[in-house]
Amino acid sequence: MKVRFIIVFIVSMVAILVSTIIFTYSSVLKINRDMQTEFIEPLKDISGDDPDILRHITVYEAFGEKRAVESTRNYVSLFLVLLLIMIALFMLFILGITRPIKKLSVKVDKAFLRDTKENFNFKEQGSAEVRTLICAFNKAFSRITQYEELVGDISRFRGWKEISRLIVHEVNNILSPARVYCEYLVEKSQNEDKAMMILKKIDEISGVLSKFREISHLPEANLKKTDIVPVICEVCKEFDNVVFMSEYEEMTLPIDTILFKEIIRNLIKNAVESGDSVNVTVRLLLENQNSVVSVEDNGCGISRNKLDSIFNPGFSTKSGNLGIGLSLVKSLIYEHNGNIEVESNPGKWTKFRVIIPAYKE
Amino acid sequence: MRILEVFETILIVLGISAIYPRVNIDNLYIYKKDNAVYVSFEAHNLINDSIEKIIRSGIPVNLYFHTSTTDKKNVIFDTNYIYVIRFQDDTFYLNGELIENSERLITSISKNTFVILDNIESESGKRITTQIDISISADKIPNLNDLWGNQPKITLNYRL
Repeated sequence: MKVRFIIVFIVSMVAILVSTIIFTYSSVLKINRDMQTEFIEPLKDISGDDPDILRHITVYEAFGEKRAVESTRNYVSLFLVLLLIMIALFMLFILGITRPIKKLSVKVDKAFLRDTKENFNFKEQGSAEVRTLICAFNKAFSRITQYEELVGDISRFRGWKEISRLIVHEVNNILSPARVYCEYLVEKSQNEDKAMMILKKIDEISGVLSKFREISHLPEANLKKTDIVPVICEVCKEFDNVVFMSEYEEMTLPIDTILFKEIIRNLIKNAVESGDSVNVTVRLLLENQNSVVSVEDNGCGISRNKLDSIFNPGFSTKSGNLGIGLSLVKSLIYEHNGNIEVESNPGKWTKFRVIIPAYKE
Repeated sequence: MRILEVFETILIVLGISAIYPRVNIDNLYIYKKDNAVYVSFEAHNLINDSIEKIIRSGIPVNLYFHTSTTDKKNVIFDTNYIYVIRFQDDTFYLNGELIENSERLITSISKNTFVILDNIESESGKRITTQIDISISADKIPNLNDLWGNQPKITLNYRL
C-alpha cells in the first residue's frame, strides 16, 4: 500500500512538474513572439538602417531564448515551492488523521486480544474528527467493560443459584434420615443431651441450607410497571428501627416485585446487623431521571479497603455470615438494569444507593 | 511542440541540457619544440548562430585564450591569445585580416596552436600544470559568454 502510494505520488509530482514547465515555457515563448511582432519588428521599420538600434535589437534577440528559460525557471521554482508547502501541509493533515488512528488500532488490538483488563482511555489527539472518533471509542470501551462486569456478575449469580440448588438437594437427602434417626435417639437414648446437641447442629445446618434455598428458588426477573413506594414500605415494616422517607407518594418503575423486595430486604437486614441498636433510614429520591433508593445506617461502617470486596460472593465482615446477601443484591439490581453504590465512614455510617433507571414508554 | 522539443525544453529548464551549443574541445596535442611547449587543439561551436548574428550586426567581438602555466605554486608562463572578429561591409575580419566567409572564419578560429611554456630547460623535471580559459566578450555586452552552452576550459598536467 505504501509503495503504491509513493509511486502514485512520484508520478503525480513528475506530471505536475512537466506540465508546469511546458505550460510556463510556452507562455513565455508566446510573450517573446508577441514582443517580436508587436514591438521589435515595428522598431526595426522605424529605425530604418540606424546601425546602433539594429545592434541593440540583435543582442536582445540573441539572448531571447536564455531569457525565456530563466523566466520559466523562476516561475517553475516559485510554483514548486508553493506546491511543496501545500504537500507538507497536506502530509501534516494526513498524518494528523492516520497516526492517531494507527495508535488507536494498536491500543484496541492490545485491549481486545492481549490484556482485556487494561484500562482503555486513549488520549484524544489529531484533528477534530479523529478526536471525536477516539472519544466514541473510549465511551464504547467503557460500556463494554461495564457490560463485561455485568455479564460476569449475572453468570456468577446464575452459577450460585445452580450450585445452591444442588447443595440444598444433596445435603437435604443426607440430613432428612439423619434427623429422623436423631429424633429416635432423643426419645430412646439414655444420653439425651448429646442426641439433642446433634439435633441442634442439624437444625443449624438446615438454617444455612434455607439461605441457599432462597437463592436457588429465586425466579427470573419479570419486569413490570409497579409503584415502588408501597413495595418499599411493606419491606420496611418487617423490621424495627427502620424509617422510610419519601417525597413522592407514587413512583412507577419497571421492577420484579418479588426480587425488588429481596433487594431492599437484604440491604435493610445488612444495615440492621451492622451494629447494636442501629437506626436505619430508607429514602426514595429522584436524581437525573433515575430513581434512587438509599439505605443508610449509623452502624459500624465498612473500612475503605473492604468496600471493593463487599459485593463478592462469600465475602462478609460478620462472623457466621455466608456473604451471599450483598452479592445477591448486586445481581438482582443488574437484572433490573440498575446499579448499586456504597459509601461508608468507618465507625459512623454506611449508605447503599440503589439506582434504577426511570421507566420509558 | 513536438515530443522531442518538449523533452529538450524540460532538460534545458531543469539545467540538465544547455540552451546554446556547448563549446567542445578535441584533437588536443601537447608537444615540445624549440625549447618551448606547444598545445594544439580544435574548439568547436565558438561562433554559434546567436554570436554570429551579433558579429554580423557590426559589433566587434573578442575571443580570448588565457593561458596560465604553473609549477607547484608559481606562475611560470602567463599570456593571452586574442582573436578580434569584426564584420564590416559584408566582410569578416579576423585580427584585421580579411576572411572570405563565415565558414572560413569558423575554421580559422577552431584550429589553434599556442605556446604554453617557453625556456623549458630551466623547468626540467618539474611537474607542470597549464590551464587555458576560453572566453568571449564585446563592448557593452559583458555576458556574451552566456551564449555558450558551457564555459570552456583546458587543463593540462605534464612533467618536463
